[in-house]
Amino acid sequence: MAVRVLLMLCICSSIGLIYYTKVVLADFIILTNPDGPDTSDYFTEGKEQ
Amino acid sequence: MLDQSQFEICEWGSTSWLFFSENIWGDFIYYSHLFPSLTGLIVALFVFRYSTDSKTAQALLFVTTAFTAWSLIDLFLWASDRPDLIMFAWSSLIYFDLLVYVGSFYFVYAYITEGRPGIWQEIVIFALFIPLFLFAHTELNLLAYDFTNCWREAIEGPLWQWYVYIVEILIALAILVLVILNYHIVPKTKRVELVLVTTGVLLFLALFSLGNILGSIETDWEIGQIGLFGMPILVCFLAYTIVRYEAFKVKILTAEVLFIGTFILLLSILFVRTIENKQVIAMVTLVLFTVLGYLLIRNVRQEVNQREQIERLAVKLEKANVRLKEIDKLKSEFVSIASHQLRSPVTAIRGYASLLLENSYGHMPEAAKDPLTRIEESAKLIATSIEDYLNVSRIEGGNMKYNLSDFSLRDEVEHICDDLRPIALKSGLVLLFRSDIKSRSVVHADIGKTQQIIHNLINNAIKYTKQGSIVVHLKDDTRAKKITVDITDTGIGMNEHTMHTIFQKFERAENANSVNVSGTGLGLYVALQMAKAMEGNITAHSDGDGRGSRFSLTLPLVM
Repeated sequence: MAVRVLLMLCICSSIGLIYYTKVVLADFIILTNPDGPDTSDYFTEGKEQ
Repeated sequence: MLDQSQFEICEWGSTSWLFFSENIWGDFIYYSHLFPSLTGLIVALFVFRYSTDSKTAQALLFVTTAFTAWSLIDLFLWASDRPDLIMFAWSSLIYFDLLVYVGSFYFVYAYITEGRPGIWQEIVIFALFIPLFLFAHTELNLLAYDFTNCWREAIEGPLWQWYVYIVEILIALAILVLVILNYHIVPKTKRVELVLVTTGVLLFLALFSLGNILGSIETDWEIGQIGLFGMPILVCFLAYTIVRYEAFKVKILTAEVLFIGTFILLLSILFVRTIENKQVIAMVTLVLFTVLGYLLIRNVRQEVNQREQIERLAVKLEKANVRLKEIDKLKSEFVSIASHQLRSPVTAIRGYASLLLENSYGHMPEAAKDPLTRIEESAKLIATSIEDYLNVSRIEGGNMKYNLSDFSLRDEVEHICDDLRPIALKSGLVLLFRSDIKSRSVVHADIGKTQQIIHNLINNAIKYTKQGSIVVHLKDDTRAKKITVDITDTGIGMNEHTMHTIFQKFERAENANSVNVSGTGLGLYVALQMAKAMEGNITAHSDGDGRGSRFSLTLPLVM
């Protein structure tokens, strides 16, 4: 029981951390197509490549 | 974040109700997500409702819940127009993906053992999640967000592409090994069920993995949707085992499965876009309807036949019951007549033997006295037995008469103790009477029957006690309006089995022969029936063989 509860707590915490990283900090790379329309200007936050 | 001009170039639509937007592409997207989730959840909730405490039902509900969460999150990310939310949802999916597998392992484990994995197995399962705790928010999970040509997709990293898929394959293998190792341990009757359930689970997991892996490799997520159809396949296997073998202790009729299946399929047509796909679903519905309809008609025919057979049996049983009642009545009449016929001659034998012993017909030689005493005692024994048989006959025939009146139980118990004290003393026993009452000890009962019960209980105590004492304790409970006579002895006692059977007809204590006491085994049965008829009760208690007994007669108290 204790292991299962701990597992669920860790999963919830990790999902919380994912939310913080991806939504609050927007810490992820964004790939754009060099041959297609240049879309890099449409991001006010986040990384570009 | 994206600005307004992005929408103009990429023509992304906004999401309504989390899951609905113009961004959804592919013919099957809603159908492949909502249909499997709905079917899985309905079956799992159905099973769970029947057996809430079952570990199997709990695990099945967990699997379908994790699967539904996976489907809805997946649907959400395809509907969303925000890269940050898509990255969050896609990153989180990794947990639900693995939870579906872990839940499936728990489900099969519970199906075989009716329990949960041990602590070490759970620790191993926990350890499998540790890399996810550490790296699920990093680029090892999702490398980047691919915005090429206005795509809205994440590029999966090694945590997805390698670790999770390998772990999933290992868990599927563990399930297979678990089933193979335990196949011969489970009862033969459950083996076919186990094979069916395991096949369903493994097909479900295989399709689920295949869809995800092909989607990842080909980056064609329309192919990936095929993986979601593993759940309806699992549901079909489960439904079959439930209907055919009453698996999970669920009793369900083919008609119910037919109704639920058709309902879900018809409902799901609403979420299909193209005519071609509607035709496919119509075909599936037709096949399901044909197969289950055939089974339903067969079941109905069987039930009609069974009902006719039951009706015929009921008529036969009724006739047999009437005949049995007649025989029982004849038996009771025979016992009654025979006992009455026997009672008069036995009374005469006893009386004349007594008179002869008292020299009423002249002086008896000393040598004749011993045989005459034996004749008198045997006649007395026969008379008691006849009285017991007559009482049983009266009780069972409903002919026992009770003349109810108010009287002091204390006085009666004290008189009986005084009468029986010399007999107890003759056997070397002390018979004590103790009264601990606050009321007038008045009861509304048949005085003769009450005397007979108390006499019987004290007499038994004397008979079954070799040495020591017999304590008759009278106590009352004015709040409960009850009065109790406890007869406690230091005799041969009773074991647990005897305590449960002692009040049945012809039952005697297992160690009764150790004190050389003869009897019919009807006395306590008659006493209990009499007490119950007077709204009272008799209970027996003992700490075991050789540790004495306590019999308690309880009667309602008149306040």
